[in-house]
Amino acid sequence: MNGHAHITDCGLTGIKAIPYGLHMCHFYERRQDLSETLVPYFVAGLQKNERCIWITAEPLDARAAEAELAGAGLNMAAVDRKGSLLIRDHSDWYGKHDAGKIIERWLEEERRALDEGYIGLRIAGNTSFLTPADWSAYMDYEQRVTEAFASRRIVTLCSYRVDRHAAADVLDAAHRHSCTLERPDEGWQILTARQDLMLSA
Amino acid sequence: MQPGPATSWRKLLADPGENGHIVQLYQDDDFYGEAISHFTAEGLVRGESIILVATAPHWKNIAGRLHGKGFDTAALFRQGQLTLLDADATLPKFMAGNTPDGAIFKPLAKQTIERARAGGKYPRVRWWGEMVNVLYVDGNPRGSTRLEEFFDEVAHEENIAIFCSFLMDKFDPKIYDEAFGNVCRTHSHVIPVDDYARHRVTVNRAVAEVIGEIKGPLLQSLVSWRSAAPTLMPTSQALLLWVKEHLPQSFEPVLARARELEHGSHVHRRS
Repeated sequence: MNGHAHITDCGLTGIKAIPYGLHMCHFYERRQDLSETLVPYFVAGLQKNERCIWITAEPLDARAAEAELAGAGLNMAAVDRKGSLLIRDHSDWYGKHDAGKIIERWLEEERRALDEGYIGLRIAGNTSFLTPADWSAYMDYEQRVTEAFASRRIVTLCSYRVDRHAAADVLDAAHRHSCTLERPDEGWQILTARQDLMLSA
Repeated sequence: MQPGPATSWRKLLADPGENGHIVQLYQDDDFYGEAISHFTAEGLVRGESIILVATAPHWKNIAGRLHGKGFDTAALFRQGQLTLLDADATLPKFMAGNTPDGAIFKPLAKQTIERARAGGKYPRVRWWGEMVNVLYVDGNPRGSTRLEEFFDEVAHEENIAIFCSFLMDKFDPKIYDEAFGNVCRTHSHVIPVDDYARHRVTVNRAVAEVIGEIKGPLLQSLVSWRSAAPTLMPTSQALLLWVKEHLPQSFEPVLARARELEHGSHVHRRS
C-alpha cells in the first residue's frame, strides 16, 4: 500500500482517531443533525489530505451540502481547484448498477486517490432515498462494503434517518457495519454490535 | 440499486451446507410438510441420500408432497437414495428411561448414515427427523435437548446436514423461558416462520405500538446489542430476543400484539 499511518481523524468530537477500513453508520433525526455530523467529518478528511466523496440525499442535497461546508469556513474554490472533494446526489452516483459494480467503483476511486497523492479515501452516503423494496438488496450491499473495505485506505460513514426505519431495520443496519456512531450528548461514541446474527433483511 | 433475492428458508434448506443444523418452528401442517419435502427434494436433485425419521401420520403428509413434486418414493427406497425410519419405533431403541443413551444412539445413527451412503454411491447425506420433537411434545424437554445435542455431534462427526421440526408457537412467551434458548444453542439456523416478510412487518409494528420509536437510549441499546444466541435467524426474530433481554416488561405485550396482528392479517388474507 503506502507508508502512511493506518489511522485517521474522524473529525467528530469525542472520537478522534479511527482506523482505515472502517465502515460506520449513524442514525439521525433532523437535517441539522446530518450537517453537524458530516461537515466536521469531511473537514477532517480534507485536512488529512484524503480524497472525499459525499453522496447526498434529502434533506441535505448536493447544493445544500456545499453551502454547509462553505458556512463552516471551508474554502470551496480551493477545494474545487484541487479536486479533493466530490459531492453528488445519490441518483447521479448509484444509478441502476448492481452492488458489485458500485463497490468496484469505490475501489477504483481509492486507487485513483492514492495515485494522485492523497493518503486515503473518505466517503459518506445518506440512505434516505431507500424504499422498503430496496432494503434487502441494500443491506446485502452494505455487508459487502464492510468486507470489501476492511483492508483498504477507505473510511465510510452511512447516514440513516431514524424516523424512516422500524426496529428491525435499525438492527439490520447496525449489524452490517463495522460500528455505529452515536451522540448521546455533545460528544460522540462508537458502538459495536457485529456478530453476524441475522440471516437477512 | 436493483433489488436482490431475499434470503429465505427455501434457499437455506436447499443448500444447508456441510454440518448445517437447521430447525423449523411450525404450527401448521402446510408449512411443516412443505419445508421437509423441499429439503428432501433439493437433496435428491443434488444426488444426495436422504434419511427421514417421521411419525406415520407425518410421513403421509411428506410423501404426498414428494409425489406432487414428481418423485417416486418407492423407486427411491429401492435405489437406496431415500431411507425412512419410524420415529415412534426408533426412539425406544436408545432411550434409557427419559434420557437418550448416546452410547446406543450415536452408533445407531452412524450405521444409518453409513448405509445411506451406499458404499460411496451417495457421498453426501442429509437427515430430517422429528424424534426430538416427539420427546418435546411428550413433555420431556430435557430428553429432547440431550438428543438434539447428540444429533449435533453426529452432524459434525459425519459431515451431514440435519434438519429438525419443532411444534412450537413463536409468540408464546413460555417457549422463551428455556425451550427457545435450547433450540438456539443446538442449531446453526432457526426458521421461525413461513413468511419472513410478514413476520418482519408484524414484529416491527408490534414493537412500534408497544415500545414506541427506537431512538435515544433504546437506539443505543439496540445498535450495540450482542446476542448470546450463536444461531442465525431472521432479523425480526432476533429483535424479539433483544426486547426480551432489554425490555422484559414489554416482551409479553409485544408478543401478544404481534399475535393479534398476525391473526388479523390471516383473516384479512382469507377474506
